[in-house]
Amino acid sequence: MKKLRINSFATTVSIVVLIYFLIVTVWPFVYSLYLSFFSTDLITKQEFIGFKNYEKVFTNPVFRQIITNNIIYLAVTVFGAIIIALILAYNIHKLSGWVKKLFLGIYFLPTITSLVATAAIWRQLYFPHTGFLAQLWNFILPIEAPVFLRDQKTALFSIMVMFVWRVVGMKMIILHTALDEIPDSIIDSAKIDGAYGWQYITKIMIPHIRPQLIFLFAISSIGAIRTFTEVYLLSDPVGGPNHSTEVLAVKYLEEAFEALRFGRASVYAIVMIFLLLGLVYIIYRSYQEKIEH
Amino acid sequence: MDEKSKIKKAIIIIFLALGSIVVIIPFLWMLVSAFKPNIEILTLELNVFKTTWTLDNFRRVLFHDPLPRAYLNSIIIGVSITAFTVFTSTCAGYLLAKFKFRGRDALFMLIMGSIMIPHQAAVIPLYFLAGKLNILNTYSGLVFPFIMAAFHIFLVRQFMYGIPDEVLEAARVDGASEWRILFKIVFPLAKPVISVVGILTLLHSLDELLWPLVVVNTPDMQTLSLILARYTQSMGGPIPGPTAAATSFIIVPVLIAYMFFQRFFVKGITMTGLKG
Repeated sequence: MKKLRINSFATTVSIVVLIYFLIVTVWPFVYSLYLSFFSTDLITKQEFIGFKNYEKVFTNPVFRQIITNNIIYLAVTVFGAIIIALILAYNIHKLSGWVKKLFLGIYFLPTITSLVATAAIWRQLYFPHTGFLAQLWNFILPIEAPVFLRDQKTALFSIMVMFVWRVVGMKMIILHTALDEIPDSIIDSAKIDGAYGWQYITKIMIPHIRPQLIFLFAISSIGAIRTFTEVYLLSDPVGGPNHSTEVLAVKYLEEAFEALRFGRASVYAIVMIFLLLGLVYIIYRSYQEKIEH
Repeated sequence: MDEKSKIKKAIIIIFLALGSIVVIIPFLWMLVSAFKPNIEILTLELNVFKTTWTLDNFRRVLFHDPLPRAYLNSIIIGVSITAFTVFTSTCAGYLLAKFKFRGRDALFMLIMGSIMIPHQAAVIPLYFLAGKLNILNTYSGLVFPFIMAAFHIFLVRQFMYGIPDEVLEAARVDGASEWRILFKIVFPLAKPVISVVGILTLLHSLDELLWPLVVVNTPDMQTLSLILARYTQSMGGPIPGPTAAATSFIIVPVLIAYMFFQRFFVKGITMTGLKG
């Protein structure tokens, strides 16, 4: 009797969870893979065209630009944000009392504010010539301010600056907590051994907060591959100028719902999924290493 | 030595204070610009005092643009997604941590595997599905891709390992049904992790832009994110005033909540990191 009751809860939940994830993840993958071999508008025509969609996408020079953009975005936002967060956490950690609390509170602010609202504000701040940042730049520096989002040389970088501004606090808080948890005895014995400054950071601190660093790398690099919102909102025009801010998720949406080439769009989805697969493999490997250490 | 460490501390504080200014400027800009006419923001001479204050931006945002309706939509959608996610992640996390059954590890792998197929890479199939179910441009359509989340199930599962089996066993011996145990014991014990999942999901759901862009096609179903996207994009020219007013409607409530529940927010974020 007891066994039966236990099973009723477990069975219900596992079946519901199983069905849900089959529908919103496994089936979309299979269906995207299927669509990627067709030329289709999803309504009237659907024609099998073999690998033509892949050919079209992979030979398009814009595709290379997109992959480069995604990788630059990953490298800068992940490593840039983690390094800045570590510097902040390391310094805040040395303080105490209300000063410490105040700084923790301030740096954490952008993390809890809406990304969409943040992007809307930064778009106005970045406005060429009359925007706040352009005016501030001209006030301080003798050289003419760049046009930020309107110049293909600075557009992607400007988006990344806004994004790092937003996510640094979250990483700082996590790293700060990790620093708090390094036992005093280890810090003291390191000092006795003469490990100060740089040596302390590389030999004692970094190895101790390694799990948190891997965790931050994991979630933010996965986020960078599927990045959409801030790029869509800040790029002007979307993905531009001249494809300099085009990323996978944005291109996928444009191919599908503007060009109505659902088959070719699906290729971008498949590419994104395989990039994530590779990334998850790397992350999995570094967790394994962590366990060995 | 004491002098030296004092100087060191002062340098750190100055460094962090400069950083804080960078963090705060966009917020200050928003709060000031919301009450200023566009023309004055654009001809800014870095002078906050020589200025006209106005409520025109708020008037425009509230009465000419469908912001109130979008607000309502976003709250309905956000609260539904949060309620679903909290319930499903607690059930699934509890199941995966405390029950042994055939296929459990496979189920866990399937859930974690879903991270590799995010909705950003599944928009066409999900759109197709929503069309077949006839829920395009409805609340259900906007909510259904987000009612379970792998990351949150993982968080709850990790948390559940910390709950001793004896507590659950004792209830079973007393003859409580599994669902009763879930509601009377598991949910109350899981409050810390539930509040984390709740806050993160709510903040996240308000920020969702891609899916509403695809699914919504009438003004009355617009979400806050869609309205803000329209502010940032189509209007071409600079409209700092209304943008600042509209964003302050979204940012200020969260800031106020943050001031009161700071510990919850911070604990929540650190909890996600510790289990890494």
